[in-house]
Amino acid sequence: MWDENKLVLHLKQGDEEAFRLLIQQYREKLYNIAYGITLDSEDSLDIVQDVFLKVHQNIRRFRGKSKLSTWLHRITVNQSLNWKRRWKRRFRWHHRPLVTEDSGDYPELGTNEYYPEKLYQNKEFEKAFREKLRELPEDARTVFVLKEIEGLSYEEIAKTLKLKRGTVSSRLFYARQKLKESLEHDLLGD
Amino acid sequence: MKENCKLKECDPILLCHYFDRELGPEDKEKVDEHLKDCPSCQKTLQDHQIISSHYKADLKTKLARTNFESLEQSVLNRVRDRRVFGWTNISSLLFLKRFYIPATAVAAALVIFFSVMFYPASPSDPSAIVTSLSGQISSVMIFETPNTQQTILWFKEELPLNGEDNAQDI
Repeated sequence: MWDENKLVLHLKQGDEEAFRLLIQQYREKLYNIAYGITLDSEDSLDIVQDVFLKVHQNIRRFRGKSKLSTWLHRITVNQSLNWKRRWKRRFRWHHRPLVTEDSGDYPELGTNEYYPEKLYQNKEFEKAFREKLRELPEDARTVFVLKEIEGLSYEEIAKTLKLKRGTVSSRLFYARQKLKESLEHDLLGD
Repeated sequence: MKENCKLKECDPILLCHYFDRELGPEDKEKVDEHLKDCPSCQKTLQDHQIISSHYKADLKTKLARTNFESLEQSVLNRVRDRRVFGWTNISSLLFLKRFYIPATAVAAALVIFFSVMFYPASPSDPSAIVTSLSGQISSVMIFETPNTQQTILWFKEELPLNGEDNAQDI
């Protein structure tokens, strides 16, 4: 495993092997961030592809003032938010497909997972959860995603998004409150 | 147990920081003590945990279904294509746009400014028609330019009608 400095150095020299390593090291993390913000699998793949191409294109300008991962996170967040702002995509954002991405995810009859009532509750819960996640303002969701997916500290999130630590804290609190309150019936209903 | 080690009332924001492990040792101890006797905060903490776990599990499922090999290949192919077409050089030119666009704008503004300020007025434009006469045979027009007076004289010529060269003779 190469350390970050070596990786960056080789990337700046245009070493394809280094670029491959970078992709393998970060593709899942960046995908998670993109998916966390866009909630769309296919578009998240496109976004991650664009992020890597941007990195390849601009690596010479990376001065190492922040960590490579922070730089990558920032590009991914920006790309994902830009994606959301494009009007075509915005239409799709509000459009709910008739067949959801999880429609084929039900367990088979006779397996231990098959308890119709529990399954129904889980599906309802998942549906409500996604709905509420979608309804979150994008700034709150972005902070939530970076916290939950990357496990970044408030300080790291603040650096990535160029915010104050207090703003990160309040957005995260807001996101959690919204998710919790909105799901109270489904999640906490006794 | 020391009384100052305990929170006086529930503090949801502090609890959120506690859940995110963002508290210093003193605050953490306070929340720990508070949690022992507060079912409401225990429940809130549990809710945070459920939301977090569910969210992560959902993403894990998504990840398992995603074809990252194809993503990697696609990115590498596009990078190779860019090398073939010299994208690196193009991108460095694009990088320069932050300099050449303002420079071009300034140059254009200067050209417009100086052309307006120093462009000589056209000397030969007619300023006014003094008089004009029109007769059956000829017409005369006299007009002035800033430096001269011009007279134009022209004669009328009856054109023969089509195929009728002798039409007037008849």
